[in-house]
Order: sequence, then structure tokens, then C-alpha cells
Amino acid sequence: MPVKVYGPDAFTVGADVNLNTYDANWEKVLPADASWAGVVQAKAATDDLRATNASAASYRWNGQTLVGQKILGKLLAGAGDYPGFHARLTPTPGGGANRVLGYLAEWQATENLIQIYRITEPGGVLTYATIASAGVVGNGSTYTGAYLRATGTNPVHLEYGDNTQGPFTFDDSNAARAVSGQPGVSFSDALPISIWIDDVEVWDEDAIAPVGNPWRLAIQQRAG
Amino acid sequence: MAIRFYLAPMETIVDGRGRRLTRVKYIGALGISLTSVNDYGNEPLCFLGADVTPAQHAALTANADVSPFPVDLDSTVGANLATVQQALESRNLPADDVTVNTPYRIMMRWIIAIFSITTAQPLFSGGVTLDTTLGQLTVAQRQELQAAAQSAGYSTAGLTLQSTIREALRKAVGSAGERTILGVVV
Repeated sequence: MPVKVYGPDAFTVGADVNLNTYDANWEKVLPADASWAGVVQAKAATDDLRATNASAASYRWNGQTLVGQKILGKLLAGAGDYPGFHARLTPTPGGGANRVLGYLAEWQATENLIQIYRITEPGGVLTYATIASAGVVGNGSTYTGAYLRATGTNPVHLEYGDNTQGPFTFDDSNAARAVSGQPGVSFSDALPISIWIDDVEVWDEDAIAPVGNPWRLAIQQRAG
Repeated sequence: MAIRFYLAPMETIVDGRGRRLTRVKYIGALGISLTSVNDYGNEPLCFLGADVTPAQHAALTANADVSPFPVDLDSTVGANLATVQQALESRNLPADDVTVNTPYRIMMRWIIAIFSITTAQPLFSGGVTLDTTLGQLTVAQRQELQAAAQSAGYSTAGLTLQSTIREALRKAVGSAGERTILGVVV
């Protein structure tokens, strides 16, 4: 039974603070080159996550190692900007051949859909393979309950959607499918006053639920 | 709108954000939004499921490098055997197991299973064909193929350096299983 292991985090702060400083369980990933120079901050004025410049940045949550995982939250979609969630995200050393970097779901207002990518690094080149798309995404629209879920390893079962659409599913059996890694958040081409992500939760989809009262009652009855 | 399936080409571009992107050719321009893409590793080919209008289907299949599957997936290849075999072999997919009695639904499972045995770089380049032997590949290519097959749960028993890529890929056919794509059980 899935168990929530983080959040919902409303990112309430008194002053702007980088996400990995706000909570050390968040780690910035992907090469720190020019295209990924963005920094994500918890913003005091709005109590949400925003990128600090027109670039890109991804952060993964490392609070607990997860295989089956789901990350969800509320996000604002905007034309030309791309908020999203990662699943099974692993950092790249920036040159490792064919390193699997995981999955990314972006709410794309420009393309007007939710797009799923498998990110790999064949020959040391970061590559986004478009593996699924669905739904409708509007410019300036807010989506609550937006989520990306990854379970299983062969195939990897992906599920995604939000409170207005889905669930959509995709089974990935490609040799480059991602079988490990952590959930994360993604901002791409984000301007400071544009898109945001808020109320983030992380779920362990492989958790074993604790024994509840019905069992305890049965044991007590048997003992009595 | 209807869910249809295709063998379709993949293209590699650099998108507006400077990212190296692989995507299905044609569908963006046609405004097709609900898609499921099983890609053939880094080969420029995929098995595409898409929710399309009749007009979108017609426009997509007007491209010579797009091959549609029929609406009735339980129909058999029948009189289309030669055409189907040619469509598969020309895309480096072994057609040895396809007969007049093969339902398209089963053939689709085979294709998806074969797609899980791939290499990081395109395999079918530099003169490599389905009939190239494993011994003619680089050690790295052989290791990648073997790792991919084993990861997918396919047997590599009996394969030697004299075995062809065709024989290696056909190992997947016997293990191909059912799956659901865009709500359709394949």
C-alpha cells in the first residue's frame, strides 16, 4: 500500500532560499553547464518553488531510497515555460555513456499537452526520447494533483495525470528504461515570475502498510 | 477519434530549448496529442499508438515510411504476407516467424518484444544487417545486446559468435507477452 514519505510541502519561508538549503534532502542534478544553470528557490513572497532565471534546473528528493515512487503537487503551466516532475532520476557525471537518467513529465502549455520523456545519455549526449503524450495543458492554467508515478522494472509502468485528466499510462520495456533513481522536480526555460510548483508530496509505492487495528483485535480475541 | 497503431519513423532534432530530442516524425504537425511510443532503442523506428481522427490517420499513412496496422487486430496477415514481410525486413525486424495465419495482434507483441533488445548507438549502420553475425559486431555491441536481452528476461541460450542478429532478435519472439497500450490490450 502506498505510503506518503514527504509533504505536502507548502514551502513556507521567511526569505527566498535555495531548495537544497531549504531541505537538504533535495539535491540539484544534471550537469552544471550553461543550459542547466538555473536555481530553484522556495520563494518567500509566494510560498512556492520557482526558478531564478531563464534556464533549467532539476532537483531530486533523496529523503529515502525509492523504487516504486510517485511525486505530485500543484503547478502553473505557462507558454514557453515547462514545469514538471521526474521519476527515477539519477545524476549524470556529464559524460558517462548511455547512463539512464530517468523520466520527465512536463506540463507543456506551448504544445498543449503533457509530454513524457525518457532521458538517457547515449555516447555522452543527453537525449530526451518522447515516449508518451496525453491530455490538454492551457497557458496560465493551474493543475492540482499533477503527478508522475513509476513502478516495476520490466516493464517500467508509468502513470501520470492531474486532477482534471488521466490517469494516463505507459509501459516502458526499452533496454534504456530507468529501473532506479529518485523522484524530482523540473523547471525549464522558467522566468522568475512565471511558472511554479507547490504542495509537493512524495509517495513510496512499494511500502508495506503497518499492521492495523483489525489484526490487533483478532489477536486479542484469539488470546482471550 | 480512434486508437490506431503504426510502425513509424523517429527523428532526432535539437529542440527550441537546445535539447537533443528523439520524437515520432510527422505527428506533431498533425496535432496528434494522445500517443504511446515504443522506440527501437536508438534506431530511427518506433511502434506508435495514437488516438487519431480519420483525417489524421490518412495524413499519417500518406507517408511512405509509415505502416499502419489494421483496425481489427485479430485479423490475420493472410494475402498481405509478402507486403508485411517486406515492411518488417526493410526496418531491420526479422519476419521469419510471420505466416499467413499470424494475427496482427501477435505480431505487434513480437515487435515490442524485439524493441527491448537494443544498443546505445544505432546497431544497423556501417553495413550491419539482420544477417550480420554476432562475431562481426564489436565486443561492446555484443555485450549491450546480451545485457538488454537478459534484462528483458529473454534467453540467450544457444547463441554463438556464428549466430546472426536475426537469430538473436528472434529469441524475443517466444517470450513476447500481452500488454495494454492506450487502453487496448495488445
